[in-house]
Amino acid sequence: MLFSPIIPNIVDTFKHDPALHIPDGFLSLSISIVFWIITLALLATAVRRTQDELGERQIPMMGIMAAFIFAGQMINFPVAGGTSGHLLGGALAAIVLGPWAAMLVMAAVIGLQALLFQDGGLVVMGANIFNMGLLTALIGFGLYRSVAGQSRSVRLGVAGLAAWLSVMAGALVTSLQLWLSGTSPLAVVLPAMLGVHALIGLGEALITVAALAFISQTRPDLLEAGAVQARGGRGWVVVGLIVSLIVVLFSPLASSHPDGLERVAADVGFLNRGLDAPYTILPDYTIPVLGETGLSTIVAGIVGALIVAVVAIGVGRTLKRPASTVASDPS
Amino acid sequence: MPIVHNSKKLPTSSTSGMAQAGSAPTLAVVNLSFNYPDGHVALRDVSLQIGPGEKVALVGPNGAGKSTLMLHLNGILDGGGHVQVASLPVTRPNLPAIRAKVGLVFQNPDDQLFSPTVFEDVAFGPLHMGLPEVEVRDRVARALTQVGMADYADRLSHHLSVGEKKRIAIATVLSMSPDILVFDEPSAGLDPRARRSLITLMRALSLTTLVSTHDMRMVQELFPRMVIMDEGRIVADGPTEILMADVALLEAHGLEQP
Amino acid sequence: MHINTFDRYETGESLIHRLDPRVKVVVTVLFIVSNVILPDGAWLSFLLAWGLILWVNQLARLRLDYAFKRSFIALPFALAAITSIFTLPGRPLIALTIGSWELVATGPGLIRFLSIVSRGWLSVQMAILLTATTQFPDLMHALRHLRVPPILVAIISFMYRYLFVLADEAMRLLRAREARSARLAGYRSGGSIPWRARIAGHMAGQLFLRSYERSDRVYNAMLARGYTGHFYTLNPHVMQPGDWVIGGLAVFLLLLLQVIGRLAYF
Repeated sequence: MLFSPIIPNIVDTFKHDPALHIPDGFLSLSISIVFWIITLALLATAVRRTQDELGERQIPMMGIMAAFIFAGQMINFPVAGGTSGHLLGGALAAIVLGPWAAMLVMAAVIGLQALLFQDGGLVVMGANIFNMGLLTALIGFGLYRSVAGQSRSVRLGVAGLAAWLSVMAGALVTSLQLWLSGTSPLAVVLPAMLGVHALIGLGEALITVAALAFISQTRPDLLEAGAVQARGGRGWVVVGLIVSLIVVLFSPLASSHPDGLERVAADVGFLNRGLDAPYTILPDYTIPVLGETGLSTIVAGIVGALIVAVVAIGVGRTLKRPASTVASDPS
Repeated sequence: MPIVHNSKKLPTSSTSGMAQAGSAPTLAVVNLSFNYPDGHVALRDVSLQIGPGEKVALVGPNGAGKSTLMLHLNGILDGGGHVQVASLPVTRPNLPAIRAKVGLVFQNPDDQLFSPTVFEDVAFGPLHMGLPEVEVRDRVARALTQVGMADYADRLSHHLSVGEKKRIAIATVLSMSPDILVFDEPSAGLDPRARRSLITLMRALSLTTLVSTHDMRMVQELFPRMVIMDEGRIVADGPTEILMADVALLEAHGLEQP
Repeated sequence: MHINTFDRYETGESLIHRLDPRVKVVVTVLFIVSNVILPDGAWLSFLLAWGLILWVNQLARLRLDYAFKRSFIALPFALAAITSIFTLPGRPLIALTIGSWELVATGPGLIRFLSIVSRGWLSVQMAILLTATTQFPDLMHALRHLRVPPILVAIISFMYRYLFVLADEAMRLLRAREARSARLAGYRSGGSIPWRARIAGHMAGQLFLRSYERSDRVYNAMLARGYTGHFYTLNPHVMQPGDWVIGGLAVFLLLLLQVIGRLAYF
């Protein structure tokens, strides 16, 4: 019996595109929170929709498919000089599983990667899930669905395009997030990310198309099921096309006129210059009466600590449950 | 008591399948040791020589190190010691060439078949080697004929039975014209009919062959030489007829007479 | 013989190991948030935060450099931040000329860069300690307790269960490909890049089908055991007074760090 293939460099095979898994500390809190809100809203919908479509199959199917995406990201092909192309899988997942299921699956993968392997941060996970899981599923499915009735080669071609665009979109949004957080200037990060991912996206496109070709050859019924399953197909197509258009038009524009964007953002107040903390309950951590002295800061700190302690104890009291409750989860 | 024989010195009743004295060994393993990353010692100082045309069976209990040994033959694993295939040492720079010489057939044919059609799977090896299309087609046709699946070229691998997949898996390796065929548990999971046709197939193949197996009846039928492994060591190496008769030896290493 | 490389848990008996997983998750997240909202240049706070990490490391009875050694995964991303050295306006430090570009490193720019890297690095280490001291099922329980939708937790748990199985299959496919990737003297080997990508795509498609069909089999097995879509779990985690104390202490220390961070700012 063949032993499981644990080779010392198994960790190396996990190497995928590092530039899209943002670690903690590189995005501002406000950006992180904004994207958490968007992501949670979309995931909540995804949970409900897949529940309706799959019923009780939902959990085992989504779980195993998530494991597939994770494992699939290990499959690579050598490009040149030690680098290799990998699969991200968002577009592929959306095409074969439907958009909502794909979002759930990608979110699970990204969540696990962050939780277990510190591949991507915890606080910025909302942004990572959006960039790599939600956006990719949207573009992947939207574009593919738009040519649902066409010939096989058209569908495969569009799937490849969708895969490429999904990677570019992820790169675009990542750049914007980094810029708005004050981590990198737009003029540098945007062209760099887009440039690198134009190539990475090519690898994604090639693998996605080949995978779809395989599946359509061997079990075409699965592809039909995935495409037809999502209700509101037209809605997806419209949104998918719009988002794709935005990516296609915005990217070169922003690359060539980053200063204009910066000025606009600074005027509107988006840009996080990082010099002030976004939340000042007590302005500048001073108690107004005492004025701006070191002492007042200390007192403010103690007051803050006391508040938190009281809140914590209060919360603790309400959360206390009797031992060994058998909790069933209502679906 | 374990006996270690040097295959070149012992006489054998079978005239085929034994090494011609003096010819360069197809496979030479010298003092191979290997530990897995978690510390498990899989191979302890293993030495083995196989001459051209020999058919050798590797037997032993699970965990003996048979598969680990096989994974060293084409460089998938890299242990301490020396491995040489047809006078070419198995080192990193030589790996691409070694892989053309060592045809490793995995136990689970699903691991081996990753292309949609049978043709593409069998063609992968020659294509990767950069052979011209005419040559590739020729090799595929010959390999499929050798395994008795000549008209399966356009079939989808996914839909084949286990027995059919096993034969295709062998074809994927034959198309590379290796110097030595290495099988990991070829008859595992096969029904009697599929097993019989596999044995017929293997008998017909004239390549040097090393097979790891639990199927003692197959060993007796096909392999004049037997190597017993246990706990990472080779504990016996000699003519099948003689070793098979040694019940105590077999039982000491978790084996049974057929 | 299977090595479970997806297990980042370090078996042990320590205060941290015994701590309720909810507290560990919440404190980790608060720690990260705390670092993120510290202003640039709050070096004392960053240093003290690192002290906290070392302390937790010690309390968990792990080698002192445990978290440190594994923290370099976030390193490549530092490249993204490196540009801020040269683009944040302020007191110039040194000027570099590369080709026709002149790059001026500024004081605030350097402070910004080092602060970002510090935040990232500190966050990663705490996350590492979290997974090292909390078994995966307990992590999942913690998420459930913290009101993460049970469906999501169930999906992640399922995924984890089959992660190794499928990753194993992927590795074996890769290995099979490697075993047949040979070079013959005199011929150009390897095929074209599109061909290689096609093979990789076929492998991915192959893996997908196997996974899909496996999920069918698993589902049938679950049905056979009476599964109707709900998972029932026993709640083994009860917050002990000690958990509250440690949680409260952690929050207090983080607040202290915040205060110190803004003190130095003056």
